[in-house]
Amino acid sequence: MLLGLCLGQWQSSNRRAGRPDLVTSLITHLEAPLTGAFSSAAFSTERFLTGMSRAGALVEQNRRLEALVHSAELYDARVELLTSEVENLRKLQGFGEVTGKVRIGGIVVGFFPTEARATLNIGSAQGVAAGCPVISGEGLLGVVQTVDRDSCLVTLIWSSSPDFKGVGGLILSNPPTASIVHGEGAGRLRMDIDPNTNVKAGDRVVTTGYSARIPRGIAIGQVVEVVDDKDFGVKRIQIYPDADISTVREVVVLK
Amino acid sequence: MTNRNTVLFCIAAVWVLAAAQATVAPHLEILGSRPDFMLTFMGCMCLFMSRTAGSVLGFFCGLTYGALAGVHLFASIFSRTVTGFIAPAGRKFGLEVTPLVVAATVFAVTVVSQLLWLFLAAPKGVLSFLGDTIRSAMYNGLLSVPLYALLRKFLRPASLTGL
Repeated sequence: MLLGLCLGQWQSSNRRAGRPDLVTSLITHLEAPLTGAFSSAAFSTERFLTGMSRAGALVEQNRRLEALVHSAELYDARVELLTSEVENLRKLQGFGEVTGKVRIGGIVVGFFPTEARATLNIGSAQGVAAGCPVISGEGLLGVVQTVDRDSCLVTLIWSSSPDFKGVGGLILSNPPTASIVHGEGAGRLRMDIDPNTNVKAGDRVVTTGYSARIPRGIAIGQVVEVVDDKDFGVKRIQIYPDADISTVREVVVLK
Repeated sequence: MTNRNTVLFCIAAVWVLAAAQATVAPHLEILGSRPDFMLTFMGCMCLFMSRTAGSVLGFFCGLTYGALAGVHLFASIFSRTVTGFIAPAGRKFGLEVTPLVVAATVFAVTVVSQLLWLFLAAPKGVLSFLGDTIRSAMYNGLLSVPLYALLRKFLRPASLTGL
């Protein structure tokens, strides 16, 4: 029991520094071969079964996606030109670097729904750092908590752990409203905002960008409920997150 | 199976089940219930083991799970170690080990372990945590019956009394 207490304290101090403790690192490395193999097997099985049951719809969806890719490629050259113009103007004006430009691809090799955490197969060797956002095709999944050489632990945005302070969210209402998005566990998000704001169900929520690591405009979710809490003098917003980690395997870490 | 082989078997089982918990368990969700392979294994093995062996197994189950899931190690280790210590006490009641007893034992192991965790590292949504615990305990109880049958076949209980 004393050993457990010491390990817990050691873990906490290392986690504050954004790295795993030696014991956690060792166990993660020992489990890595199995988690990689099991993860591949589980996703392959799921995709096989999904493919069997929804083959026709998947073929049609694939055709539409291919058409979208061709359309997007037509604008690639123009987007590249505009991006380089913006970069030059930012340098001339002396603006700082924009976060989230470097994209590091990774795979989810472990997922703990109750604890709202996931493990990725990329780490400091690939350039991942603590505090970097993790996104999927649908939106923001979480924030990197600890980083090892070849793996990292991600806290999901709906985590209710007191260690996770939330992310800055911007509700695209008229006018837009910013506040902190807190996790309430089990895939639920909450924001407390000024009672005089004009927010309604269906409004989209994105990241504010008021962060050293998380760029603005990443989709977080959609407002599903607005409750006027007169006792606390706030409006409580319930948000349904866009990204669902249980259905994705490939993710991107933004740096 | 000799005691040394049983120890090696437990180490290998914890290693495999921890990886399975991280990768396979989330895909086996049924109506919001998720299995906990390590607690199921621990509950079944406690029907064979002494208190000391049960608490050692609980310690390593808690350590492995806590390290992989990134949760507070002390809460994970304490809850599993204490449960591993308490669970073998059920053998003293002299109950015949039927499938119902096995399922009830694993159910109780899951609930006690998660309640201990709740007191040490209380989450924000206590009611949803308790709901998850009950559902997980029922799932583990169902899984424990075939697992116990397998363990009983390959681990001769008489050779484990020295553990």
